[in-house]
Amino acid sequence: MNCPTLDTLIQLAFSTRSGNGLTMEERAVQEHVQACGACGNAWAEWNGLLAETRILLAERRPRETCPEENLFAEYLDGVLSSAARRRFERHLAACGRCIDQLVETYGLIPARETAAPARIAVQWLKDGLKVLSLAKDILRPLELHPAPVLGATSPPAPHVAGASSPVPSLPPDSRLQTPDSKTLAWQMTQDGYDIQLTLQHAKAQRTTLHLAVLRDAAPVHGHRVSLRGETTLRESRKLAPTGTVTFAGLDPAEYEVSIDVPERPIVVCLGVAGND
Amino acid sequence: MSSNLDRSEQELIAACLAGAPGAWDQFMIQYRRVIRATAGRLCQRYRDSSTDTDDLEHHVYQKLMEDNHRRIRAWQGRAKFSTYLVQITRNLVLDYFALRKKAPDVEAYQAHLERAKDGPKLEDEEINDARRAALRKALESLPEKQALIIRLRLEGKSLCEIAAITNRPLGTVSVENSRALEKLRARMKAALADAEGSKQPS
Repeated sequence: MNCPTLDTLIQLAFSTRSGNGLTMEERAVQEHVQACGACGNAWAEWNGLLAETRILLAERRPRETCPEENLFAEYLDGVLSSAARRRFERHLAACGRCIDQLVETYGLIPARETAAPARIAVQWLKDGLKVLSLAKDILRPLELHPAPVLGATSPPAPHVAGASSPVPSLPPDSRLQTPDSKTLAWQMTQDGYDIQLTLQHAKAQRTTLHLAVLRDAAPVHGHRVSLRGETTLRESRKLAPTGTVTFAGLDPAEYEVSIDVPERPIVVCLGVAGND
Repeated sequence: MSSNLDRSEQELIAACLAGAPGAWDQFMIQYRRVIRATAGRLCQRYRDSSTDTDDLEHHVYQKLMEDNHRRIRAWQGRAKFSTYLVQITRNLVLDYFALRKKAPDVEAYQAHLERAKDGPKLEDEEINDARRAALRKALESLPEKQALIIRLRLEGKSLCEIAAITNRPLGTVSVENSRALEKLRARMKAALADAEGSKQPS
């Protein structure tokens, strides 16, 4: 391996401070650093500097100037306005006491009660997606109508296969219905929420997941939706005012989607298998 | 903006504060686990095996009941009560440790650094001091979003964890992290050149 750039060495110095282990790429750099004198010195220098800086930055401001507990809880629950969030973050970046409190309490907040997760496993085919397994007691397939043609009237709402009347749901996002991909959709209900999941097999051998959440036929918005890989958080977004959120570019892997509504999180486990 | 407000939590707290029969029993059922788990994990973190979790739990309840439930009344209802309770419990437990002279290790490190400042310095140490000062100054001059990301990375948090803590997409956190590092490196390079320059004989 050639000597890594200073950028890579600094990234490694940060990553080794985390207790989460290193990626394969970082492990390869670490092995090089252990064997190469020049890189070893550069890495040790930054590692030491970061450790010392952390201690210097742990300076505590007078307690009277620190935000009170409500603000920490609102920040962690994601309910602060953007202006309040900016003010809080400015203080956090400069106050050792408050950064300690944030980091520590983030790890102490208990996991909430969850219902049995919905499970879907799909596989890529040359021209679309194939369902490998499905929790049929929770998820009901939706029939999707063709994409609307420009200038034509709006398509009717999707129907649950086998159901006698339309379910209250948002029409599927027309962007997902392209002629060169296959789209599958399901509907589920938990604690009064109607959730529509749409999976699209995208051109670049990746999958797009689209979620729509309704309550009493109205879009639910503002709640956080997290997409996790097998061990780490991949992305976290809030439901838009239309009650929807999209995660694009999913590679073959196991995912867990969690919609953080107040009652208890709505969890969907999604398995995407490659094209063998 | 939709609120995360949990109506049943708010009703329970209101009932407790109004002295409704059975409300505090329900409070104990719902939140005892949060208080005990928080206290227990803080004992582990600060390696305080001499404190009994029961004593800490009792201390937390005592403080929660103080001044006509001042701390519970202070909950503004926008965040979940359990998230707020973790903050309150954590601060009460640390106050308890402090009363028993169990201050966190970081204060000892700071005292050590203060002592080191007064000692004699070699030339290399002076360069290191200049570099540390430059890094600190550079960190302080970053926009708050970038400063917080670097600050959390110094605490050992991964980019994924920072995305979760700050409620931001991972992509945004990654981009801001790269921008912040770029600024830090530029400042460091300049500071190091200055320090080397001032070391050269005139």
